[in-house]
Amino acid sequence: MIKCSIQTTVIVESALHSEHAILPQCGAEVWFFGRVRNHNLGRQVRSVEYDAFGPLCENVFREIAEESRKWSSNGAVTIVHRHGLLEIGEISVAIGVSTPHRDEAYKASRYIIEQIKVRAPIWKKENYIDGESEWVKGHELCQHAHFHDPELDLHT
Amino acid sequence: MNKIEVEIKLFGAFRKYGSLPIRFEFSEAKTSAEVKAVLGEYLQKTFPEFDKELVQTSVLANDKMVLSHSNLIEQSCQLAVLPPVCGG
Repeated sequence: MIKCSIQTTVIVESALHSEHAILPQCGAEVWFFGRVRNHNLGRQVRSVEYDAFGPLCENVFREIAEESRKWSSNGAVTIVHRHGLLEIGEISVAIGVSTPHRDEAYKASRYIIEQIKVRAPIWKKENYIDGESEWVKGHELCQHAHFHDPELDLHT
Repeated sequence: MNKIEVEIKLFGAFRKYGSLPIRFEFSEAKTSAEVKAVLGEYLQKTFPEFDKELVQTSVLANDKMVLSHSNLIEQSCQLAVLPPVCGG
């Protein structure tokens, strides 16, 4: 089961947990939360703004979730990303994976976040405490941008 | 021949150059690379401080997928210009 979304509203952990599928065959459930931190590359961050191309984003999330079926075929995946203005400590992205065993859950979760970082049409602008703001440099997209991590033994 | 109207939504660092989509009109089909070049020329002419590397490192996309450089745009459509990404 796959659930993917991009939203401007606050990501609430309890709501994520209650909406994530609980499957009797899954003994492992791993959650990753990305939160806004107060520093980046030596600069003090006050807040961040995420921009997103919503329709394509959801397609890319779904594509990535389908690819993660290499590990989670008998389980469930939830991907939620927020865009708009976020304060320090707020959740920007949540990834939930349920699989029969923990090894697959950790691998699927890691795969999903690494792919989101290089493929999802999302951009981050950091607002610094000195009053300046900057769009964070990112990863160039191409038609077939996939991530190859030998440790994960995945090549797409 | 019918005009081909291409509307390009701006995202990320491109937002510095406007919040509304930019519209172009073509009299014949263009590749994605050609449309991107036209966008780059327009931004460079309109904004003296525009860094052309931003267009060079960006791609065009529709709601469903990133377009390859050789993708032919033969009909009026809405696209988006996507600079290097950093979600998550």
